[in-house]
Amino acid sequence: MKKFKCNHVLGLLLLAGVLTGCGSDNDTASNTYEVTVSNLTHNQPLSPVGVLLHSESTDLWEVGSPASVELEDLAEGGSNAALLTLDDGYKEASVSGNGLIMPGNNETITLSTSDNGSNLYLSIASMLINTNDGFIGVTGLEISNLTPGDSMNMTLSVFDAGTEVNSELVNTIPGQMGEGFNAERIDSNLVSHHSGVVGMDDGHSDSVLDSSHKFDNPAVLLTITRLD
Amino acid sequence: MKLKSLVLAIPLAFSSAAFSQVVDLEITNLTHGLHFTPVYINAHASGEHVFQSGESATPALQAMAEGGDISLLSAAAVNGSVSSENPASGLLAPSTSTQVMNLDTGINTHLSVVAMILPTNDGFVGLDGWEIPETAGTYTVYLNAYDAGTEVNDEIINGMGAPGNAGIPAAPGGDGGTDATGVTDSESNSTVHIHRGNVGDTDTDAGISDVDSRIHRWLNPVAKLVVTVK
Repeated sequence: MKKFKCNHVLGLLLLAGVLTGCGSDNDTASNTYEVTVSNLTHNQPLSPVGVLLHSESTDLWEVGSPASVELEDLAEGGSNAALLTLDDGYKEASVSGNGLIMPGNNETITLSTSDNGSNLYLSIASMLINTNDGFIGVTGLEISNLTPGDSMNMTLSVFDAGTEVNSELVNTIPGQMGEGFNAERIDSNLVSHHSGVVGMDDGHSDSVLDSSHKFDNPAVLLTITRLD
Repeated sequence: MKLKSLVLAIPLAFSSAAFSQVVDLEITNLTHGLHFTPVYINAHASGEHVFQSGESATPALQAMAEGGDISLLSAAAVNGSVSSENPASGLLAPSTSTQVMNLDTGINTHLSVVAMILPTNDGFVGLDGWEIPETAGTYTVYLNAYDAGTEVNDEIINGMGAPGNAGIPAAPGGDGGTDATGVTDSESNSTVHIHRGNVGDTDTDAGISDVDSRIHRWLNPVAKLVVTVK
């Protein structure tokens, strides 16, 4: 069942000449958030981050379910364009990062929503570009309880989109000038956690990756701050 | 002692024992290419354990970790503890989930979960004595992969799962190899510890390992447990 949107209630009450609050988060005209993505890996540049806000809990992916084509596009090729245009009717905002986030670096992305309803959920996603279809992210994360000035931190594990087999072969890894998105699904077709890369230095002689591309969990530190 | 605080303390002291917790559990195999054997869940008192890091595995834990047999764990369950056995009715495939509904934990306050990971020699996913919250709500716990410390991690798939027999029972995904020479013949830590992971190789009919390095490795965490306290 669709949840009642708080701002509509507030509007009606104002028309009736009644000034009232509607939860603690609704005393400002907009909500602005800073999302900082810090790359903790050794040699896995992160593709431009896609950040979305929803007014309902929205899972852009789920372990055990097939990836959407839009997520596959991001996880195989590093493009967030399709994912950011996804709209289930509850999308409040969508913003792309400026570019690759290199290992050891971070990027802060600011986004706002004029919907001051009491429900807000954050999703972010970015590809580890030296993988076949590995990505980091969080989806449907409730941030409604952040008040202005509040921050929250979390570390993120690496997912496998399940749409491309982890062959590590030349021409399959975007970060090594290989192919990006390919609609053909040649793997489990289920999102899971990633098992890591093997690499040519660890017995996979056909791999285009080497020991520098190995990673472990967590791969990213995420900080979310509400500004106003 | 003030009489008032004594009176208040009595109902509080009884409350945790008098109101048994009923929980729903959802266990998800987060891995990309590993199966879990039948899952064993035990709600027990504080201080009880199904396994403990840094301690030797019990014979019952060994049987589970080497061969996926949870019957000894069931038989060894402490009196008064509450178990749920094999909710997935067999193997829990990669990226799939299984549920336990309305598990009445009775007077038990802590939760443990184990299941063997295939293909490994004696690797298992484990949760050791997680305190069940008293407040109703949904709680998420991530579980790591452990090594029982009871068997050499030779990574040879030979169908052997009984305690004391070297080798891996099976690669249920049908993606294991044959005729490996073995990764190692020693196991220097004989206590339960965090698994160092599969080595594997890319040779399906020779090489050091029958495990495929492209499929059968993992990074922790390997499972997600969602507990709904009612």
